[in-house]
Amino acid sequence: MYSKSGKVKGATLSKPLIFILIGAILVLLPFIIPPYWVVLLFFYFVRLTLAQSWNIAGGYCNLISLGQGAFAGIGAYTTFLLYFSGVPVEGALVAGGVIAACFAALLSKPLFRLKGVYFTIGTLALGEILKLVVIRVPYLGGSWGLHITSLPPYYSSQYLYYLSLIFSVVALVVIWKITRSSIGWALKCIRNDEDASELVGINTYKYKVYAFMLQAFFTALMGGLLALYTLHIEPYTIFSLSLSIEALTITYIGGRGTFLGPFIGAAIMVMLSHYLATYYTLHLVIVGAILLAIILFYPEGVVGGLYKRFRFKGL
Amino acid sequence: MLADAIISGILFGGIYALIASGFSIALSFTRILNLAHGEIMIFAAYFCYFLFKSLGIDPFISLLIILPIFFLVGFVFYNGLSRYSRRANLESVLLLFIAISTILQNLGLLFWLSTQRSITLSYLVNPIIILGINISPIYLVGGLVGFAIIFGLHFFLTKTKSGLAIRAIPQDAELAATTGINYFLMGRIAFGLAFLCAGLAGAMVAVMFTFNPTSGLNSLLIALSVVVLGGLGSIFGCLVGGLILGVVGSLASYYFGAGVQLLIGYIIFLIVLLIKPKGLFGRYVL
Repeated sequence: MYSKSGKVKGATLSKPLIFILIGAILVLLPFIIPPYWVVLLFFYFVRLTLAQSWNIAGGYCNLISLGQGAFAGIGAYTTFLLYFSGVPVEGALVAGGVIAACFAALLSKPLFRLKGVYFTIGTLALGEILKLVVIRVPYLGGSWGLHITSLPPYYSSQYLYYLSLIFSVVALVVIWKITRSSIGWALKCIRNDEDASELVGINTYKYKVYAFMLQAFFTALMGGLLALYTLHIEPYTIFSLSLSIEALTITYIGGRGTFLGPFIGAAIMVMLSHYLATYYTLHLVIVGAILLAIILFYPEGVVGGLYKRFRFKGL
Repeated sequence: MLADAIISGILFGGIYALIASGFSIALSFTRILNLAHGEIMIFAAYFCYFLFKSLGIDPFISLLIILPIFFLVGFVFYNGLSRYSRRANLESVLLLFIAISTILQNLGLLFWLSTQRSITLSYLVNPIIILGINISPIYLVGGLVGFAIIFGLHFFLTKTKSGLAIRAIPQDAELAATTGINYFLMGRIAFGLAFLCAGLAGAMVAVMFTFNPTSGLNSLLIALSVVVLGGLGSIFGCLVGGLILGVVGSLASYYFGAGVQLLIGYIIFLIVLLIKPKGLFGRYVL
């Protein structure tokens, strides 16, 4: 039987069916695999979303931000404070995202005065400034940070897994839809030539603010999730550069500006951190070395390189 | 005392200018944003520390060993870098330095752990009192070294032939080449100088403050703020930026208690970025 387009009908699964199947597998997975793997999958989703949200501004557009730590920190602190005052965890996480997005919108006015590389310098200081503020505020726990002592009754690694699954799926669908929409095209135009896109009538400022806010929102969500996993926030680590470096390394391994890239990059990173879990600093040396190698020898990344090879212009 | 605070602010201005000088040279004259500046400084600090601890070499004498080595490293490093940056865009070079700084910082943590280290020099401990003003001799030495390096660089860049040639490159490299300037060599010298200044600043940091492999970021941010305040392409801008940061920070800690210096510094940095992105004495737009 042939359909109008000439494809064999029935021989392949229809698209919604594939998605339902994958969804069912992901939902049932925690009951099948050992708990340690559930935690690894949790980290996979968190890193994937971190990288994908970095990708929307840093990959599709040209806003290479090193301020992920600041957004993640805002998300984590908001989540903890709201949780302490009795707000359910999910609502607290979303509130953290919203506050981080507002913060990004406020900051975009001064930051977008800087072009290209100098934007990166501006974002570099964000985390450091927030850190210096936070360690001086006793309400936020000072340099000790905050920690959750009374756990919610339903707290478990499965619960965290489902939380990360839901938020990641939402983030991925939103980012996928945006990259397909006119906003996505505008962002790609800005990446290729900002002046030219302004000349053809794209409001570059507006689209850059959108991308930056979106990035801040999802990064803050993931920061909150990570803090929920450790049950502890320390200002010196959450505001550091390591989250930004991880996000951009994942994106660069997979391929900057591709939707599939972060999926592969995050898998590689999670495997690396799994096998090198006992050597944390060595792990970071290797991450840096991988980033170096990718930039020097394979700047398109794995997925980007394959696309180029097969002249494929999708995803 | 207010006078104490002002004097120490001025000395800290010299120290900040010293920290920023290498970063400023690399950015102004080779257009390379050296995000690994802090880590390079910290490596110099450890170099100095181990020369002091294991061989007993005085930090000021060990400069004779450290500075040539760092100059050579920068000189050689620029070879590969310029070959790479010719076929890559600015963002890739930036990410290259992020990768390098990650590698260096974590190698440092791997070798030396995150223990805080410092060098205590017995002859620089007792405070000097002049006209009733307390001056810490360590900061006095650091500040004076900072002023000296700024004036030395200014002399080199305005009065010597190769200094003038280095300054010609960022304005128009091709035009400079037509007048017979070997701009590749000049770039190498400039980058070597940048590394030399980073080495000097690192050794001074080792003498003045406690340090560990992760304190490089702090130095980098100080350098950034100073350069943004003072503007690119101007060595005196570097000094003025450092002095503003130092004096304002010192006054802030005098009025609001210790520990707010850097916070005030970064806030000034953001305000200047917003109002005058060229910096106070900048020749080029950031």
